[in-house]
Parts: sequence; structure tokens; C-alpha cells
Amino acid sequence: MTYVSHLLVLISLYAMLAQSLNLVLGYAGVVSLAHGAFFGIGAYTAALLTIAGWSLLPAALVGMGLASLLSFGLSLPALRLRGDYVVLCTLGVQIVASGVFENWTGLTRGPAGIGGIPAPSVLGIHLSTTARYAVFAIAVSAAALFVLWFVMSLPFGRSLKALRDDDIAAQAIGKDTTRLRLHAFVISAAMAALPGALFAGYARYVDPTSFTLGQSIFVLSCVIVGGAGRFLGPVLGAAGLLALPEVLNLAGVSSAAAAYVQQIAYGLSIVVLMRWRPQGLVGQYKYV
Amino acid sequence: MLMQIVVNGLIESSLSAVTATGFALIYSTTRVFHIAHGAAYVLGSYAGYFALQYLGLPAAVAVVLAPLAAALFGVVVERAVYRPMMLRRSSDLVLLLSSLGVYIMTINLVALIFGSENKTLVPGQSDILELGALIVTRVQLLQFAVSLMALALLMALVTRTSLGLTIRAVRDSPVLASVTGTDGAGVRLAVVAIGSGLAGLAAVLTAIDVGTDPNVGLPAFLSATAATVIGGTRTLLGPLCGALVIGITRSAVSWSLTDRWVDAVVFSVLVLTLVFRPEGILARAGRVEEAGA
Repeated sequence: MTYVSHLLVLISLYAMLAQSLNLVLGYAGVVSLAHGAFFGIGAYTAALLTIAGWSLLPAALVGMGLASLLSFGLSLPALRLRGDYVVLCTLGVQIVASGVFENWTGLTRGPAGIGGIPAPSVLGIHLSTTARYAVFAIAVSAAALFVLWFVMSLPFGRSLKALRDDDIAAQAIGKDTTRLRLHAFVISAAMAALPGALFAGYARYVDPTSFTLGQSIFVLSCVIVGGAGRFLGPVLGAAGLLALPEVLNLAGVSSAAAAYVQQIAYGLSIVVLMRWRPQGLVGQYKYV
Repeated sequence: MLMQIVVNGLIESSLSAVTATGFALIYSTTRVFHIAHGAAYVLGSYAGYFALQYLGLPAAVAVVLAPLAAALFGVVVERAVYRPMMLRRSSDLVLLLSSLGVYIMTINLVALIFGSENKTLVPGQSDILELGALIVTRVQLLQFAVSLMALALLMALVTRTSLGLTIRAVRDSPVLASVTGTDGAGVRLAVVAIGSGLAGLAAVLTAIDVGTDPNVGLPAFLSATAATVIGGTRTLLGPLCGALVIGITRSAVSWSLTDRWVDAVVFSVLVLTLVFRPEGILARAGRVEEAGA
């Protein structure tokens, strides 16, 4: 039962994280390899502030603010670049962020990580068990996804969909595409920091290994496998890829080899989907 | 001390220049953001490891075999992945993501087969040579000499031969090249083979000194792209200069701060270049062919 709750917590967190990336990849057509970094900013901010006595949700808000500030500073110049260079730019941000998490020992305590994060209390309920945390994570995730779904039904969201379907046509009817991409990127970064904060409250320990380029690539795989540009796609992708280790376990792959086999499966699924079904399992967007 | 930093930087730059010109050649000709270049690098170093430690071949043979193995990998990726996608008119983004998928698959396959710990190619310390106040090892001299030779050969190939001429033609305008009867697919295949071979060469030269593990590809790929972006792809001298800038920066940072900040500083330089001079430091204004790309 604890294990099921654990899996539910992870799926709720990654559903948010994947959905945040979907906003830029599936709607704005921008590949970001920096979402592991935004996730990490949320986690580190929440870790430091809750240890200083804040409660989790305000700390999460501060983390979201910081992540969106960074993404704003990044995207002002970056979004004018060609597609490949935007990817490279986000990759650069991820590497620099990993370097900071790892080496700014005064703030992040470096590779040792930050332990002793208090178990959060919400509405007077102490979230000390995995099952309680699962309920909390599912509630936050559902709320966040609902807010995003609502935003996507506003004119802003419909403009983004227009951008996804035909960049030039959207420009021709007077949409400021660069500005739309900028807004999408900033919202996306904030939304990636939220599961980061929840992760810190759940694991009660953060260290740089959770926020590496590998994390960014994992989230990207979730979105691609599920299908970018569709609301449910990335959520399904996250659930499927998180369940993969269990499938491998049942198939009798030894746990030492399982990590590699898992990565090979991610890589293979990206190549195969890009080749025959670029819109993912349930998606719409074909990266045209 | 300053001279030592410059010399270390130069040797490191010569190696990353080989990887970078390989990447730049592939990127500028095929327009694929070839992340799998990092996988070609890893395969090159493991081919060297296999030749030296399993087959017991001499180091000179391993230095030849590694680029060949990497080139073969490049050919397979181009034929099995890139070409079918180009025929389907897949977008740049699809090709980039597939390349990422190929990279992840390959390095984890290597890790599955050989394990993830560091492998030594040539055991023992290399002889140290003292040239006045400077200290270099014999391996470093070998790295520098072979890299310069490879770069000179590549320059000669691109600027002096008919293959080089067609490569430049396809790079500048694929459509115009095909109109005049150039075999675009053949040129792309040749370019990917040569570029991957260069990655394999740099990889085996590095691995002879410090060994290898499945994760060496990504930092090498990142330095290569950084060098390409900083120098621009207009000519092959671009990535060369970019590699020099990065090599000296790395050497200076690891001397004045610590090794651990090196990547962060290099990528800050990269992001700043992208922000202020996205066309590279060597670029001239108003390049027509890039406007529509």
C-alpha cells in the first residue's frame, strides 16, 4: 500500500512536470532541456525556506517566482534564435544550474544535499505518511492541471494552439508569436517549480542528482511518448514511463541492468515514435 | 605559470577542435543537430579500449580503428534514422529529438555491455617531458600532433579536393547542388562518416590519457557545440577558433577556481554568445543562406 501511494505521489508530480514541458513543447513548439533545472529551483527553494520555518505552499510560490524570473531572463533573447539554438541555450542553462546545485556549497550544501526538511502540514493536517502525502499531491496536481486547462481555454491558450498548428498563419492574423512563446515559457517554468517544491516536501531531502540533464531528458521522453500538444498525452506518458521499471522487474531483468535497459527503452521509443508516429501515442502535434 | 595554462589550453583545444570540426561539418551540411555525435565519441573510445585490452593490438592500430568504428556508427545512423526521416520531410525538431534518442540508446547499450566504471586503455603514467619551465607528457604531445595532422588533412580535403567542393556546395545550398546533379545523399553520408570519424579520433586520443566511461560523450559533445556556436559554421576555422576560446577558458578556470566550475563557466560563455552574437564571433554581417534556415 505504501508502495502504491509512493507511485501515486511520483505520478502526480511528473504529471505536472510533463504538462509544464508540454506547454512549451506541444503548444509553443520550443524544446526545453532546462526543465530539470526549473524543477530543481522549486525543490531547493522549498527545502531552504521550509527549514527556515516557512510552510510548504508559500515556499513553493517563491520557488515558482524564481523559476519564472530565470526563464523570463533566458527567453527574452533566446526565443529570437533558431530552433536548434534555443535547445542549445536551454541545455546551457541546465548545465550551469547543475553546476550551481553541485558547487555553491554555501547555499545548496553541494553533493551532500540538504536533509532534515520538515514534513509539511496543510490545513492543520500533518502529512507524515506516504498515503496522506499522496492525497495531497494528487489534489495539488489536479488543481494545477485544472488551472492550466482553464488557461488553455482562454484566448491566450487558443492563440498558442494556433501557433502550434501554423506559426505563419498565426502571425498573419496578428498574433505576436514571440510574445506568446515568452509567456508560455514563463508559465511553464513556474509550473515546473511547483512539483519541485512538492518533491522536496515528500523526499525531505534534496541533492543535485535529482535535477540533472537526465531528469530533463526523462521529462522530455514522457511528453514525447504520451504525445505533445494534447492535454492528456504527457500525463499518460509520465504514468507509463514511471511504471516501466515495474514492468522490467516483472519481466525478470536484474536490477543492475534494469536502469540501462530502461534508458535504452526511452531512447528507442523516442526514435521509433519520431520515425512512425511523431505525434506520440495520443497527441496531435507533429513538430512541423 | 601563464605559459603552462596556455600550453595546457592549447593541447585541450586541439582535441576538442577535432570533435568540434566533426560536429560543425555534419551540422552545417546535413542541418541535423547531431546529438548522437556524443555517442560516436563514446563508441570511438570503447573501440580503442576493445582493441587494446581485448585484442591486445598496439596503440597505433587502436588510434586507427577507433575513428573507423565511429565512422561506421555515423553511417548506420545516417542511413537508418536520418535519411528515412529526411525523405518523409520530417522537421528539424523531429531529427533533433531522434538524434537525442539514438544518443541515449547507444550510451546505455555501451554501459550495459561494458559497465559504467572508468576503463583504462593504457595502464601507467605517461613519461613527463620538461621543456624549460613547461611540463608536458608524452601522451599530450601525441594528442597535439595527431590532432593537428587530422585538422590539416580535413582542411585540405574540404578546400582542395572535388569531394570538398561538393560538400561546400551542399552546405551552402542543398537545392542548388541537387539541381546541378550533385548526389546530395552521398555527400551527406560522406560528411557524417568523416565527422563521426573525427569524434572517434579525439575520443581515443583522450581515452589513452585518462581512460573512458559511457558518460564521456556528453561533455565532449557540449564542448563541440559550444565551439561551433562560438566560432560559427561559415568556415571550418570557426569551430577551430571556438575550441581555442573554450580550451583556454577551461584551462584558466580550472587553474584559478576549481575543476568543478569549468562546465558552468563554459556554458555561461555559450549562452552569452547565443544571446549577443548568435551567428558566432567570426561571422560577417548579412549572410544570405542562413536567413531562411
